[in-house]
Amino acid sequence: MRVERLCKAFEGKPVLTDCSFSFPTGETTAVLGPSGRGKTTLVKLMLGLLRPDAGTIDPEGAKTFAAVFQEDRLMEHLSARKNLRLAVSTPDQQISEALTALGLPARDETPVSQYSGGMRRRVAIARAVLADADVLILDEPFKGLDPAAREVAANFILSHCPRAVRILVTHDGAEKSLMQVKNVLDLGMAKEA
Amino acid sequence: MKKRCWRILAVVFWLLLWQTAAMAVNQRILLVSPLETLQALFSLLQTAAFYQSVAGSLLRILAGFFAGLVLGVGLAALAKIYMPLREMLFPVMSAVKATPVASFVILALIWIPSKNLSIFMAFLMVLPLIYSNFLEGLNRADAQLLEMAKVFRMSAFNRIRGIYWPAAFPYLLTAMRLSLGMCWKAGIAAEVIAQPKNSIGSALHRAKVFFSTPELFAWTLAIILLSVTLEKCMLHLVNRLGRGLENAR
Ligand SMILES: Nc1ncnc2c1ncn2[C@@H]1O[C@H](COP(=O)(O)OP(=O)(O)O)[C@@H](O)[C@H]1O
Ligand SMILES: [Mg+2]
Repeated sequence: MRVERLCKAFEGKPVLTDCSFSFPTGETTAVLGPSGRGKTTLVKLMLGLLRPDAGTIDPEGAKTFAAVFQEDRLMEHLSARKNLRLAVSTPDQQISEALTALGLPARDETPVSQYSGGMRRRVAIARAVLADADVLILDEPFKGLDPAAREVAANFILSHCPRAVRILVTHDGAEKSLMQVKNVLDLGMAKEA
Repeated sequence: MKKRCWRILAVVFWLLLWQTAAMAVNQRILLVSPLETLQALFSLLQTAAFYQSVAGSLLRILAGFFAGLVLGVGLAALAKIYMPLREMLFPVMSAVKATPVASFVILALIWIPSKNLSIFMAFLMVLPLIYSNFLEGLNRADAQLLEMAKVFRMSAFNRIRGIYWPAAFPYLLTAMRLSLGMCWKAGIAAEVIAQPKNSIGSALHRAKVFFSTPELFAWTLAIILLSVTLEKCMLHLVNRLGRGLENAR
């Protein structure tokens, strides 16, 4: 997937200017930069949730998208299972396995509104991974997870989506090795240059 | 607990005041005492006509209620999808909501056979309320969740179950609660004027014609009790329905 000379401004304030980058298939690319630098804006453009002011987005054959959004974006009144069942078409058996792999109870009717922040985050991760999309966007996916849970989640993502274009948004450099990051798009640097 | 005591005390107080006032006036045709009202209600309860009237009114008014409910929900869903329909319906729904019951009753009497008037009245009370509340609820669906649904290409049915329905359901519930009481009262008012066979409204009218004030009071009490029961049943039913849909596989 490739973006070319992407520009986006909010109310006249430029957030992205002339942003060009290639995101290779089957690898994790990190989008780095301090908060407010436009990382979320970039991935929303790539997901088609925002329109660029200028520039192009070339999916290069990628057809399906999945995302762990910066917010959990769960259907609050539903259980973890039902959240997954409504969003992805994975068989029940695999849903159970994914929940278990991430350390969540597989058969639990509790609505996710009663889950802790870390549990909710893991549900969001399971949803994005099980979607089995060509492009997997992870916007600060490990927020609220302790180091052990981060490692489990990272391995889960890598083992289930080896062929996807993986895009990891973070402002934490330590997550790079966890996700075997090969390429880096540093928006912090891009802005100053 | 203290509040509860006061509640009961208040009811007893007003009942006693009513009883005293009735004894002071001492004219049954003007003011009936609470005891006489109860007596009149009990003798009504022993007539077959009472049950026929109640059944007749309930059937008609509930028919109107459900017609308004179904059409209101359906139109709101369509209006959510199709903007021109929303704009077309806006003035109509506003006008129906703002028109007084009395105007409708008189107007409708000219158009509609009397036995169906209360169905139509109930329908008119319910339709705009359900429509506008349900549409409002649909519009409150979480924008971030809708973005998520778009990215994951969720089916229309799953979007409804997971996002739209939970957002709109509380609004629907409120509208149903509000409109049920309204259409019950408006329906009976329509019956008083149109006087269909087997209806509470015509029973009220008869009581007035024959200056039978105790019966008038008794019917009024019956209407209130039925209204409360109806609302309780409806809430129970709707809550179960709502939960049923959310828990559906
Ligand atoms: N919808 C929006 N309307 C106005 N300003 C926005 C909007 N979305 C983001 N911004 C602004 O754009 C800048 C970049 O935001 P964002 O992409 O969320 O940064 P990051 O994800 O790197 O923290 C911020 O200054 C933010 O206030
Ligand atoms: Mg962000």
